[in-house]
Amino acid sequence: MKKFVKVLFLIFAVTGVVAQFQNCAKKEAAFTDEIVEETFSFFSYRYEKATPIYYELQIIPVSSDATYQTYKLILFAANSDGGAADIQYEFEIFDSAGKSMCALKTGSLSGGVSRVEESCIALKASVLGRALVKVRNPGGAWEVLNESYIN
Amino acid sequence: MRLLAVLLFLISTELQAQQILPLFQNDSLRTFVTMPFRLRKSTSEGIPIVSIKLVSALSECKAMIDPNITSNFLIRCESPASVSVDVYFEFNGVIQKIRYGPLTVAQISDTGVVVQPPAVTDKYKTGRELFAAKCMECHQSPYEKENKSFTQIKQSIQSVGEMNKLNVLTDAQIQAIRDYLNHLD
Repeated sequence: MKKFVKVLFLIFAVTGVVAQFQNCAKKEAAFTDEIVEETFSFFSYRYEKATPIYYELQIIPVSSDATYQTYKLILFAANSDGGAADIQYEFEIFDSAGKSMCALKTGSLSGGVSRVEESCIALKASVLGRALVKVRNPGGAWEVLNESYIN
Repeated sequence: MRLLAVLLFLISTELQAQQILPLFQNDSLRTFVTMPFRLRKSTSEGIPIVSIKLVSALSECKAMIDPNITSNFLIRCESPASVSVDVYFEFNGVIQKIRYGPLTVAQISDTGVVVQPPAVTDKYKTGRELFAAKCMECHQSPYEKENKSFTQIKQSIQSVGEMNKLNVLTDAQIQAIRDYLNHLD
């Protein structure tokens, strides 16, 4: 009987000690997800599958007067396989009401050129709402980026 | 001994054949730009990257492997920097390393001001992305189709010839597009 009580006590003691450390391990999945999300956000990574073309538009306010704001629009685009196939592009920026702020820009990048700059003069009162960027290899489907600039 | 020398020579030749190609041109190495690079053989075939590690500019820049194209990696810096990166890949069952850089990342503009989109936290992200991927080839702006009901979108898909190809969308996806179109800023 004494032996049984001792064993029982030992089991309770061990269980008590082990229970202290339950749920103490780092939750690896949640931890990783958080880092991945943070990293994707830093890179504005938006591709859900292998993209044939990496592309992005940078919008830079360069100068303004009482009436107008001039923006420099820089499109970067390159084939993801390092190939030299031409890239056709279209891009446009819109105000917060969905109205175009300046004319649609279109063209083609060839010979390994990966950057094009355009100028956009908009009414100073306009608030940038959205940018629409489309790129494709000739004859291919458009890859579309619809980037919102409003919180 | 001679065989070993030949083997070592062959391995070193093979290793030299691995190269990193910046996919954007050098004048695109700018702050705020997500710059893609590719690890490839001399035949242009991509080599899967095992891991990547920044060895300089740790506070200004980040690097990541493209999760969808594992031969490619991305670097982005928020301040001008001189960036070097170690790229690890497997060769003949052994992990090898290429140190790439230093690359000079310059300020994107003299004013240094860039309009950045807000962090993507919107709950209509799925609908927004579906609209961009499936609808914007014809509908240039979501504003031209705002406040549509689920039934209207579904009927359009079934009755408008050019939209028939969207029959693959599930009801949940159509609902996500509807939610997005009804909550435009």
